[in-house]
Order: sequence, then structure tokens, then C-alpha cells
Amino acid sequence: MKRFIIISALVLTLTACEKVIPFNTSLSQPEAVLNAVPSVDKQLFVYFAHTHFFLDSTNNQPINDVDMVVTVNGTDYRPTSLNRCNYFFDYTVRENDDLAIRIHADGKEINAHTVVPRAPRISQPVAVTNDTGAFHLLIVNFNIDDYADHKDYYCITLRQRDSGSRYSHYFERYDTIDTTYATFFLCNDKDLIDPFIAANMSVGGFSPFNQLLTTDENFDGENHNTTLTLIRLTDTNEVVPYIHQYTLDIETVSPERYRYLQDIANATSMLQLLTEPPAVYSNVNGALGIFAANARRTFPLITLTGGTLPPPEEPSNKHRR
Amino acid sequence: MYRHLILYALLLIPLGLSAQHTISGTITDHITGETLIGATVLDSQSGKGTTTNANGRYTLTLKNSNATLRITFVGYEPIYDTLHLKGNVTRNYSLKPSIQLKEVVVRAQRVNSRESSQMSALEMPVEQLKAVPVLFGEADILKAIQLLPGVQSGNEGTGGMYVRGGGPDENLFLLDGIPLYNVNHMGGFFSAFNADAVKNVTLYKGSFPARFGGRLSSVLDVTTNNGNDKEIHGNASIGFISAKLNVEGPIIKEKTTFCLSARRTYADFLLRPLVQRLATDVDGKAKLVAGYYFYDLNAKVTHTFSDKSRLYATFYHGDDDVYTKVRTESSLAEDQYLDFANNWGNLVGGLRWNYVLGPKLFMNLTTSYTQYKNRMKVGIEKTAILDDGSEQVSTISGNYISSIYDLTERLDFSYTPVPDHNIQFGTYYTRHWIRPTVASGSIDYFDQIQMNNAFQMDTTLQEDTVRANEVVLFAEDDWSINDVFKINYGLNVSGFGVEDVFYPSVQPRVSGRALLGENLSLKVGYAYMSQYMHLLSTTSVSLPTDLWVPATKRIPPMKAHQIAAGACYSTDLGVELSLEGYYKHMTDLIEYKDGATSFGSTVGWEDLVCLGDGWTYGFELLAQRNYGDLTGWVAYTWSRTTHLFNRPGQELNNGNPFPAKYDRRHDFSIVLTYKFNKNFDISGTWVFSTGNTATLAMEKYPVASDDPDAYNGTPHMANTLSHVSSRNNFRMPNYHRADISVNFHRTFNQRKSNLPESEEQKTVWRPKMRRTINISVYNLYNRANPFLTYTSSQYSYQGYSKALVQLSIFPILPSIAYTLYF
Repeated sequence: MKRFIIISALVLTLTACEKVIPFNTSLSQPEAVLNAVPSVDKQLFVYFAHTHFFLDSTNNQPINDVDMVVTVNGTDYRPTSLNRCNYFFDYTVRENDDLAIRIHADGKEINAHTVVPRAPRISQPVAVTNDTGAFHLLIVNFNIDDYADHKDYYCITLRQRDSGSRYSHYFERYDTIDTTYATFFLCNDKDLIDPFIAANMSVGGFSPFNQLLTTDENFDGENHNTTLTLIRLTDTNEVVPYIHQYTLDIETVSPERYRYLQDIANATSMLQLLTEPPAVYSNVNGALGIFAANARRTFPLITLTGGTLPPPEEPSNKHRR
Repeated sequence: MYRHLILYALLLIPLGLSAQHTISGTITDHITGETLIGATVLDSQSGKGTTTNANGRYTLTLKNSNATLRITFVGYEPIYDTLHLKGNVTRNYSLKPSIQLKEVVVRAQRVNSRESSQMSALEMPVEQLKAVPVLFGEADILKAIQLLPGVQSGNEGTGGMYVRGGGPDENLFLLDGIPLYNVNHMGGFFSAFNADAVKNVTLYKGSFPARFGGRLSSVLDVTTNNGNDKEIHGNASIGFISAKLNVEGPIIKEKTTFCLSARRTYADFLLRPLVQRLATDVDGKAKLVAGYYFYDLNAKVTHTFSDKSRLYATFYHGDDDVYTKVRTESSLAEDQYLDFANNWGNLVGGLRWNYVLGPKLFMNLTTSYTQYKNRMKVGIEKTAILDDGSEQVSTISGNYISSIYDLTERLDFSYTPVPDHNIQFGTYYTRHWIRPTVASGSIDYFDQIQMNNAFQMDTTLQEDTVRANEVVLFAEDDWSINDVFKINYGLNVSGFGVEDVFYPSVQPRVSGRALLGENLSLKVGYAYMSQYMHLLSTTSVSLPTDLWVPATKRIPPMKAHQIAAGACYSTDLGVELSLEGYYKHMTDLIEYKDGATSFGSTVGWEDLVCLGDGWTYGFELLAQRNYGDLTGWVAYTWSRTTHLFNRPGQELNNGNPFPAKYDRRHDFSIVLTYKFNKNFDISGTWVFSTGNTATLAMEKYPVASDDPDAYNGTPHMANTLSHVSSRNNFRMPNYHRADISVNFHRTFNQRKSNLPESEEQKTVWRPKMRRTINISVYNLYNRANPFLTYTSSQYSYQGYSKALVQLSIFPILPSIAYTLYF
């Protein structure tokens, strides 16, 4: 391996070279970003900041002198606390809330509007696997109860949560080339998957946002059974280092968030290396970002109990996001 | 009334022709018997003249009964012939090379484009194009063409051709009249045209003659050698990356000839043992198998039934193959491989019958087939040893195929009814079978330890073949109105039927010139073009993921109007100067939507594209010298190309105009070849062009989340979005490069030609064998030109922890090639 690396480096040195491109960095000016995803049964908060320059590795910078008002069902609320760029409101979001936001900053007005969706109408998913120590195949069946008089937008995510850790991560994972540890997330129902998202899913989950986006208009008026299949390619004697809990997160999302997630899946796909950078949808007037709501339900599927808990301050899993 | 007029006209034609005599025939190379394209036949008494066509034939109709013909061609000694005409006569002429080493020197009288009615057309001597130094010393006609004004190349070293603001798919590449869809080898570093097989190259950038159609921006008409009809000759060449063989000769002397050219790269042979040796596992098994090669084969057989009848059979096959297979480590006694393979190429075949119907009329009947196919395979293969010792193979694979097949029947005529008119007319029909993309995936997964069962899945997506019919009628007339004015006008009427829709198109073409004195001419031209086949491309680099797609019910054909005007001036020093300006407006262009690609997509390509318009304008300067010891050209182009995609639901760049990705303001090239003596010549080029455009997202912001903690982590790809202010908002550094090439020739011995003895042939001597050693240096002063750009945290810039970095792939590259002529 060492010889291979040395010769590869030698070949690259001879045939290719890197060089910093000088350019005028003042070509770009920061813009305001408003991100808010009011979530049912959670405290309302709004992220508001400036974009950061693409060569800058630090976080986005807060904006000074901000006047922010959120109107909920006709009642105005102002932020009660501020943590860096997060503005918290003394309000807990509920189903069907009508929300509007107005901000005065940078000498201009920024505004947006959304309606909180109702919580998902879905039966308890059933997970099928025949091993609880480590598995290669996990089949999840669940049923979406549809009502023809209401269109719901869904975002469905299979998650793996590490015990004792606040982190969670999605299912496409590629470890080092020495130990292939890939996971494929498949859906048996082509009609159900948003076509554009399916494009990303079909190539093995190149997108970090490996979520299944769907609406119930495809099976209008009928309950719909769905099967998700998770395949892991691991060494079969791999010892699970600590407890993994697998859950199915099902969100109903507002139409704006649905469109936003479509674009996110596209924008963060590895296939973007081949394409022009896509624009991401925004329903915010005067700024980048999104003001869109969701309602989430989390269903536990399976827990793998193979090892000890990792230290909380130094998680052992290097693939978390 | 109309019937009377037609009858009157029919009666007048024979009257008008009664006192005329037509001289027709074929002009060939005296040594090889090869027909010569573009040779001039001039009657010095009347001043009337003509040139030979693609078959080497000419027709000259004169009113006077005496004629003194002067037959000339670049690199050949002229022939004078005095005729007393009593009727129509057939005269064939064989021109002798003016020097012995004609292959390496261009020495001829002036090729005077000043007098042609055609504008925006460039006919360069093949030997001059072959002399242009290129990468790895591999002579490449397409690379040389890219140094002409109005023609741009893609990125560093790539072969994408952009003519007057058009995309790489807007060029019609004809090999003996048969379209080639993909002319790139090695992702565009080399072209599919093997220079050894090529006889003539003509590039049309605008004011297209009516006989051409189907592309918006250019026609590159390449004619291959028929083959020596007297004795077998050829050459063998070995260079830095490839070996070539070219053989030609008679099958039946002076009746049937053949020409065969083959080329293959051999980097894979050389590198495979090295890669295997360097990447071998402890158990002796190879960890990495990787390679790349391309090959192409040109073959042509010509049979002469009589002076009036000839049959040409053309064949071309070229393929590129890239493959990698990586063995991954496993703690189990299992073999696991990651596999990638990509193969793409053309297959072309054609049969053309050339028949002389009369001294003023001859025809070509052509049947041709062209195929382009691209196959890609990605897979994982895992072999497990079962308890009983048997092997169980699990596979996960994805396949991706894109293909296009065309079958064409063409009938065309050339007719010279009166001295001042040369009429070409004809028709052709093409049946297209297009499968833009077939993506399929399969999983056959077995795990005997964990699952004790198997999982299988097999699916194929986007399998439908699109069938389309294209029919074209054309007619054009090259009319010498008087000694000052000459005009070429014509009409191309085409139709494209696909998916129950039919797209008709009536395309007028006209170009003309006015001679102002001995040395100056003014030219003007207009062309309307329609294009039914499009190439969907994601980047400016030619990639196997590019898709050929047809116009469909949802996607109309692309269209373009182009006007051009210019002047041509011939100096007494043999230098020809030309200046042309042009404006082109394009409609129904297609581009991928932002972020979309067909690669890996399960939806149809029509859902991934949007329609828009574009316009381009500029001017081109060319100073060219085709004869003498010093030959070459200096070219400069100023241009601007803009696209606008603002149709509802199909906006790019928020519906605002943006520069095309191949928009460049300045392009300059200088190409010079100097022959010191018969054993030594040297060529050099220097090119400069404005940097390519690119879309650079200069601002970043986080993905929205319902978790406030999500905003406090370190920004990384998974939780950060890029904000693009506008499409192609960044321009990469300027491109410039110098190349040099030196040829050393040596003749081993000479003998008298064994041609039939005659007085005029006694002086014809030629080498029996000779060799040429070519030493060339690409990128002489090691300029680091950008191939691609990206951000890197290994560098810092102006206080930022990252920098924008360019990758350059070709530093100074010396190479050597040895060619033996026999």
C-alpha cells in the first residue's frame, strides 16, 4: 500500500499541479439568511444571520440591529432570548398555526409566511430482521392512512441513533476503502417516491439527505402500505461497538418545506460534481433561507445491543452528521 | 399562361446550349492515382474556370471552340493543355508532385479563397494541419482546426469544438459524407480522425451550402484517402502513447484500391504490470486493476467500373475503454471487488456509387450506417466460501447505456447546364433509433452467515427507444453573374417526424462575393439552420455521461439564423488576409436544469432540461500563407456569447441573461512551419485565450433545521448550502501555451518509379523508403493552465483558511515519434 501511495503521489506530481487562483474577494457581498422550521410541540425559534464567504470556515455572522416580529394566528410575538443567531420566542407551535414573520435589518424589510401542517396519520411501522446483534437486511413496513380531502406532504427518514449520544446520522455511509461499509436504502414503490429524489436514491444514496419525500396524492383516498429496505454491506462478524437504535422519523411538512427539501436533496448530492450548482428554493422575501413548518413523529424500530457506550465527549463513530 | 412560360423556357435551354462545349473528367495524383479535391481547371482564353469536387471530378462548359486549359493543385506541377473543341469531351489529367517529399512540405501556388463565392469556409491543406505540434506528438486534425479563427477548444487539452458561440453538439462531423456523433477519444484529448487516413478537410462556419444541414454552427467535411492504385505503400509509426499503421494500394491494379489505417494506444499495456505490482495484496492477489485504451480503424475500398462509374466502401470503427477493479480488504476469507467500466465508440459504414450520367451531370447514391454507443457499469462483487467449500457470489450492479443508430439513403446530383452555373441538388432520408439512456440496477445478495437467505432485485429504467424519421430535399446553385459578382444560393427543406409530431423546416442559404480589383473581394452571407439532435452535456469537458437526444413532442428542434460579412485580400507576398464579422441568433437551445443530470436519474431526460435562446457575435481575422518554405497562419477572434433561459418554469439564472460556458472574449493563435531543407523542418504554435467561465458559489449558509443546536456546529458539506449570485459569474485565468515540433527526414534509397515509361515521366523519382523522427514539446514554457478548479483547505488566501485552487494536468511534455514510410 505504501508503495502504491508513493508512486501515485509521484505520478500526480509529475502530471498535475495545483496552484492558488488569485481573485478579487470583494466580488461577493454577504446576504441575510432567515431559517425557521416551526415544529409542532416545540418552542418557536428563528435563525437569522449573514452568509459567510466560501473560503471562510467560521460560522455565519450575526446581524446587528434586528427588529423581528412573528405573528401567530393574528397575535404578535417578539423574541425573548437570543443565542448567537437563534432568536427564541415564548410560544409552542401547534398544528394548523398560521405564522407570518417580519424583520427589519440591513436597511430593508424581510418577510415570509407559512401554515403548520397537521401531524402524520400513520400506523406503527413494523420492522423485520432476523438478527439483533448486527444485520444486513432490515425491512420496514408501514401504512399511511390517507384522507382524500387533505393533501399531506411527507418526509420519511430512517435514522440510526447512538446510545448515550445526541448525534444521529443517516444511512448512506462509506467508510475507508479498506472496509466497505455501505448502506443502501431502497423503496419498493416507485410511484410513492418523489421522482427527483428517487434520482438521488437510486444511485445508492449519494445524497447526505437520504430522505424519502412523498405526498399522498399518488394514492388518493386509499391507505398505502410501504416497504423500506435497508441493506448494509459490512463484514459479517463485525461487532457493533455500542448500542444502536434504529428509528423511523415521519414528518408532515408544509408545501414550502417540501419543495425546500427537494432542492436540498438535489443540492447536496454527490452528483452535483457533474452539474451546475442548483438554486435552493426560498419563500423568504428579501433574504435567503426558508420559513416553513413541520410535525414529526418518531417510531422506534430495532435496537442493537452489542457493546459499551462511547464516551459522550468523544463519540467513537466518526461518521455522524 | 404558366404552361406557355414553361414551354418557352424549355425551348430556350437547348438553343442557349447549342454553341457550347463541355469538358469534363477526373484529376488524379500521377504517382498514387488518388483523386484530387479542389484542383483548379482554368481556361486562360475565356478566363472561365472550375474546381474538382469531392470525387475529383470537374465540369467546364465553354462557349469558344478553342481552349487552353491550365490544371493546378497545391503541391503539384501545373499542366497546360490546348484543345480544339468540336463537341463535348472527356479529359482526365494526372498531376505530378512538384517536389519529391510532398508528404512533409506544402509548396504550391496560392489557393485563392478570394475568388470563391463561399464565405466562412476554410479549406486547409491536410499536410499543414498534420504539421501542427500537439500533445504527445500525436498529429490531430481536430486540434489543428481549433487553432483557426472562430473555432475554440474546450478546456486544457480537450477536444470539444465550439464554433462561433455554438455548443459542441452543433458541429456536423462528416467522414466521407457520413455523420459521426462522437469525435472524441480519451475524453476529448484526441479526436477520432486518424490523420494518416485523411485526404481533405473543409470547415464551414457559416453561410452553409444548402447540401448541408442538421447542425447550427459548423460542418467539418472530412474525406479519406481512396488508396494508391499503382502499388502498395504505407507508413508505420510508433509514438509516446500510440502506434499506427497505414497501408494503401491496389487490389486490382488501376481498378480496385484499398486504404487501411489503424491506431491503438498502449498505455494500458505499459501500466498494467506496474499497477498490479504496486497494488498487490499479501496473498498475492491484485488489489487494483486499472487501464485505459482507445483504438480506431479506417478502411476504404474503391472500385472503378469505368470512367463513368465508381464504387466507394467506407468503414470506421473506434472505441474507448476504461476499467478499474479494486479489491477491498476483508477480515473474512472473502473476495470483494469494486468494479467500474466504461466503453464508448462509433461504428460507421457506407457504400457510395458515383456515376457520370453525362458530361454535365453526375450523381452519387449513398447508403450509410452510423452508430454511437456508450456503456457504463458500476458494481460490487463479493465472493463468500460456504461451509461446504463452494463459492457464493453476491453482486450489486448498475448499468448505464446510451446509444444512437442512423440508417441513411442519399441521392445527390451535380449539374452544370451552362458555364456560369453549377447546380447541386438531391435528397436524403435518415431513420434514427435513439435510446438516450437505459439505466438498470440489479442486486443479487446472499449472506450465508447472517441472513441464511438471499435478496434479489432487478430493475430497468428509461428503456424506451425513440424512433425518428428525417427527410431532406436540397438544391443550390453557384452562379457567376459576371466577372465581379458571384453568388451561391440554395434551399434546404427538411422535416423531422418523431412521436406523432412532424417538424418541417425551410432553410434558405445564400452567400456572395464581389471582386474589387485584383486582390480584394467583399463577401456576405446568410444561413438558417435547424438541428434535430442535441447533446445534453453537464460540463464543458466532454464526458461519457453526455447524452445524444432527439427533438421530441416536448422538445422542439434548435434553430439559428446567422449573417456574416467580410473581406478577403491577397497580397503579392502570397499572404491571404481575411476579416469576417458575424451575428447568430439561436432559439430552442436546451440545457440541463440547475443541479440536474441524466446520470443515475430515474426520470426521463425531458424532465431534466429547459429551453432557451442565445445569441453570439464577433469578428475574426486570419492571415494565412499556404505555400513557400514558410507556411502557417495567424488568427484572432473577438466574440461574445450570451444565453437567455426565461420561459415560464424553465428559468436559469433567475431568467436573466448569462454568458455561455464557452464564452471567451479573445482567442489568438499563431501557427508557423518552416522548411529548412528536404531533411529538416520545424513547426511552432502559440495560443492565447480568455479564461473559461465557471459558476462559483461565493456565499454559504446553513440548511434549515427544527433543532437550534444544528446551527452551532462546524459548517460542512452536509449542513451547508451554496448561494450562487449568477450563472457563470467567474472567469478562470487566461490560457496560453507554446508548442514546438521538429521533424528529421531521411531517405534510405531512391529508385526510379516503375511507372510506364514516357518522356514526361522520366523525371519522376521518389524514395523507396524513408523515415521521419518527430520530436515535439507540448507546453514549452510549462504554463500551468487550469483544467478544473475547486476549494482546498491545504492552502490559505488573503487570511482565509481555504483557497480557490486550479488543477493543471499538462506540464511541459516532450515526446518523440518514429514513422517509417514504405
